[in-house]
Amino acid sequence: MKTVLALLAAGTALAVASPAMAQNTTGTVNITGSVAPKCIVVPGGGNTFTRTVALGELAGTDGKMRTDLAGSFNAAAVTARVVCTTAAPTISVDADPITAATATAVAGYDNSIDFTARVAVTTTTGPAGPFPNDSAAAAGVDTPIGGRVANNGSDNIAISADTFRTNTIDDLLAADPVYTGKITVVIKPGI
Amino acid sequence: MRKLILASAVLAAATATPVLAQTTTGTVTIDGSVAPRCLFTTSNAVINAGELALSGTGASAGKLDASKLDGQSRTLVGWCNGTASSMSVEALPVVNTTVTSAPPAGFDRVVNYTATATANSVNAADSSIVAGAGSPSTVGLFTGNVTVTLSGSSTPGAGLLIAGAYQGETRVTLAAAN
Repeated sequence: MKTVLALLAAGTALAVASPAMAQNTTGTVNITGSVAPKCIVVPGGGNTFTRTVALGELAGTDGKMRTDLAGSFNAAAVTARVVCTTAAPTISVDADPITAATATAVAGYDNSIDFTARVAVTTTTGPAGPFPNDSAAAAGVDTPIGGRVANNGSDNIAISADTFRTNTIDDLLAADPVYTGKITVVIKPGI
Repeated sequence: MRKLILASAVLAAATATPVLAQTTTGTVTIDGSVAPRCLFTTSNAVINAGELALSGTGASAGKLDASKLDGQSRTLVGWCNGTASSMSVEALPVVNTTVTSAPPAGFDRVVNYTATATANSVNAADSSIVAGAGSPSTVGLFTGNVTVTLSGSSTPGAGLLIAGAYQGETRVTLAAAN
C-alpha cells in the first residue's frame, strides 16, 4: 500500500509539473571586425599623390638665380587631401635640391638650388605645422602631426617652399635644359 | 593535438593581417631650366695709341710705329654659363677717318693688326687684313676677364702714314651654347 501511495503521489506530481516549464533557446551571433591604421589619398584611395611645379627659366637676366622662385612655387598652390584612420598620424618631409641633369659646377657657378620645403596640415582641431625640411639637410624624421587629419571634404595638406638659394649669392647658374628637384611627404598612421 | 596548434597559428595570422599600417607618400616634383647665355658685364675699353707714326729723321720717320699698337692690352669682363659656349674676335683695321680717299703711292691710311682675346685660358684671334671674324674657340663655362691683346701691326704698303685721326675696333663675341 505504501508503495502504491508513493507511486501515485509521485506520478501525480510529475503529471502536474510538466506543462508549467517553458524552455527558451538563445542563439548569439558575435560580429567582430577591425579597422586597420591607414592613411589614404583622397580621391582614389591610393597610397601616393604626385604634383609637379614647373618653375621655367631659373636664372634671371644677370645669369644668377631668380629671386622670385618662392613666389612662383607658392603661386602653384600645391595641395592634397590625405585621410588617416588613426588619432596620431605622423609626417616626415624630405626636400631634394633642384639640380642640373648634366651641367657641372665650376668656380663662380652653381648647378643646384637649395630650398626649404614646408608642409602644413589641417587637423580636426585646426592647423598643424608647417613641418619643414631643408634640401641641404638630412631627410626629416617621422613627427607627430598632433591630431587627426581633417576629413572635411577639402584638401588638408599644403606644400610651400622658400629660401631658394645657390651656394653663394653671386653664383651664376650653369645652363642646362633640365633642372629637377623633389619634395617627398610621408604620412604614416602612427598608432 | 599538433594539428590543433597549427590551426590556431593560422587563425592568429589571419587575424593579424588587418593591423598592418598603410602609409601614404606624396611627391612634389620641381622642374626648371637654365638657358645658355653669355654676358659682358664690362663690355667696352679704349686704347688711345697716340701718335702712330715714328718721329725722328731717319728712313722710317713718318711710318708706322708698331710699338704704339703691339702689346696693347685691355680687359673686358664677362661670363658664359653654357659648356659649349664660344668666343670669336673680329679685328677691324685702324683707319684714317680724316682722309678717306685712296692714298697716293708711298703713303698709307690703314694700320692692320692681329687681335687676340683670352678667356678661361682659351685664345681666339683675328687679323684685320682678312675681312670678317676669326674662327671661334670654345671657352665653355667661365666667368671673369676677357683680355684683348694687339700684335703684328703693319701698314699695307709700309709707307708713310697720312696725317689725320685714326680709328679702329676689335669686337669680341661670346656665343652661348650648351
